[in-house]
Amino acid sequence: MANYYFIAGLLLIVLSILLVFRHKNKKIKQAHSIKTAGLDMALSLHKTQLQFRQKSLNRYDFLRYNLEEALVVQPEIKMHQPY
Amino acid sequence: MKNHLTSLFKSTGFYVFVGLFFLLNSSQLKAQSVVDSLLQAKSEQDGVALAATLNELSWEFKSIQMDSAKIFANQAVSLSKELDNDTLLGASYNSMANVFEASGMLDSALVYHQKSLAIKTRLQDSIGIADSYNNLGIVSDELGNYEESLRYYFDALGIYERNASDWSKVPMVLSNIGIVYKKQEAYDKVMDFYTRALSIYQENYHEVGMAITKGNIGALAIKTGAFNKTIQFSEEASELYAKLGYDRYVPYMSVNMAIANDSLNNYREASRLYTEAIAGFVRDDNRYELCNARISFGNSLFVQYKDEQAFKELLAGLQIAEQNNFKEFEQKAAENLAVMYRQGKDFDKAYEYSQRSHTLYKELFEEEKTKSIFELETKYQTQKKENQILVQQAQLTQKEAQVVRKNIMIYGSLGLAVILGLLGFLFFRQQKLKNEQLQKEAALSSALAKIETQNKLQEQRLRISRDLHDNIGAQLTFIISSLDNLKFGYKNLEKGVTDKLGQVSTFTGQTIYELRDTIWAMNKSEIGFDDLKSRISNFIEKAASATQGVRFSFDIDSQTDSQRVFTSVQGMNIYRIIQECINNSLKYANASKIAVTISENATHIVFNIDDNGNGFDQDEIAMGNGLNNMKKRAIDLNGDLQVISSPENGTSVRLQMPID
Repeated sequence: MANYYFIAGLLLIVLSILLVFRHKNKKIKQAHSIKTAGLDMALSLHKTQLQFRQKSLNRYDFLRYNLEEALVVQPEIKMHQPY
Repeated sequence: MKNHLTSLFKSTGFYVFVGLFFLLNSSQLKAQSVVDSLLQAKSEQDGVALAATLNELSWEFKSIQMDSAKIFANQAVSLSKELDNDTLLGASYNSMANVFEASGMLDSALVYHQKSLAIKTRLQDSIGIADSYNNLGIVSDELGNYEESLRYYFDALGIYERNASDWSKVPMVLSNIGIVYKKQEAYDKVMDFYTRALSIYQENYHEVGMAITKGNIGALAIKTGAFNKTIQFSEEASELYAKLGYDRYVPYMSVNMAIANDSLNNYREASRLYTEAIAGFVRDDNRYELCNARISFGNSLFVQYKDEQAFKELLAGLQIAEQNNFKEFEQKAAENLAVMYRQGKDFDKAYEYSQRSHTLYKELFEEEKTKSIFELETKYQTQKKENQILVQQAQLTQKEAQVVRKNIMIYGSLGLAVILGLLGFLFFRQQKLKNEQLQKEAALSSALAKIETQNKLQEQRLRISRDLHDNIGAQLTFIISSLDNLKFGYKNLEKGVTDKLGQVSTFTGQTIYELRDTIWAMNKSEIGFDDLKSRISNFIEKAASATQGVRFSFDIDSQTDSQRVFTSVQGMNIYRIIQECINNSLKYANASKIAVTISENATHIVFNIDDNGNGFDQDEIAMGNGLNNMKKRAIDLNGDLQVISSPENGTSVRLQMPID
């Protein structure tokens, strides 16, 4: 009888540990997802800015020596913005 | 003194009846005939019947010849085992136990009774179980384990009472319980149990049981001083014995009644009863009790001052004691005679009997002492064995506790190891997950930092470019405009000054030109071969459309790698050299054909710009700004620029740029 109690107790402890770790891992994954989502968003914003600027520069007519178009002011670039 | 003698007599008289119950069932004569018939039956039987007969023979021989009883019991055990008959085996173990009990080997008796009990328990034989409990109670009583004995008896009583198949077993156990309480001197309880037994015998009108129990109650009443009760019950028992034809036991009752009457000072009645008892014992040739009765009677007569008769009875008792070696009675008679002679002033005889009594008492005392020592030794051994058993039990319990502790330690350690292992694994996995996440986050952060830096750099470049274009470019344009205004505003200026102003204007224009190139190159990280090719092609097309009478060709060798990529500075320098060459050909050579070709060998990419114009003598014409700029650009390209020209043979410019 005592053996059954021992095994039941052990199983209970093991189950409790597994549940605690499952909960903790879930929290860690959630925090990581939020962080990576922020980083991805910041990266995406920068890439968009670079592409946009590059596209404008590529449109610059080499022969016309006119930089007005390429050197258009781009107010949407927000440097040093925390993600 | 007389009181002392009376008490001695009373004590003796009381013990007279104790053995009566056992004597009743063990008549030698009766036993002999039973034994003979059993032996006869044994020779004619086999199998189960033989085993049963062997058990009965063992029972009968137990009080005659112990060795034979043991042999019969052993044979019964063997036969029961051969027959594989558990019922018989239980009975045979019981026979073995009875033999050991009768031999005084009480521990062995206990073991065999317990074996018998185990079999009966397995067979669920409730009456058999109760019989074994009763037997175990008897043995425990003999071993002095009264508490255990009572426990067995009460277990047996419970079973007997629940199973009404044999009512006679209930009063039997009640009487046995009474015997145990009697040894503990709990006379009230003894009386209670005897009364209950008597009541059952009376209910069932069992006259033998009634006679025995009444006799027992009468004897017990002497012990408690209830002499009238002794007289009443002993008289009733005496009548029953007489009625049943057990005349042999009538004198015992007479002695008990005589003691009671003597104690109540009814000396006449006491004398009558003693005389009756003595006659009975003489008739039955019961010398032991006769001796005891004569001495008691003598003592009673002495109390009644009938000295002559008293001497006569005491001397007769002494004689019987001497003849039969009843030393206890001999000593008692001598002691009483010494007292009587001292009363009669015959001191010599008083001294003689006193000495004799003293000597006998010493002998008896020694015997009693030896007996007591033996009993003590037995008790000591029993106690020792019990202690050993207790020690062994304690050791066993300790070992069991150790085993339990060890098991707890093992299982606990295993459980702890499992938990620790699981925790370790889970921590490791969590750490691994965290590391993976950190790596991913670090990679993302690094990429973000890189792209952020790139963005910052590009923004910075754009800002500088914008500043250069808006400020310096505007200022240079203003200078050119001012110089042109000067030239047109002051028409009477000397030719040298006008030329100089023109040169400054041209130089400033060139500066704007190069500034724009720089701004472009700064914002362009690289330029592909196809892009360069299309820009050269565009330029040639524009040049062709702006001039007339000049045929342009632009060829690219098929071996040339079209996937080649130049840096923006390289692309700009190549383009500028080609542009300068075409401009020079159009401006100075008056050429009708201008050919641009791009080819590639193992080590270099080669750009050729050829025209069929006037050409020039390289020794005579100093290299102008245009050619110097081309040389400078070729050096920036880490390449080589060759200009081959002679008058009327056109000009050929060859730019070789090493392949990385």
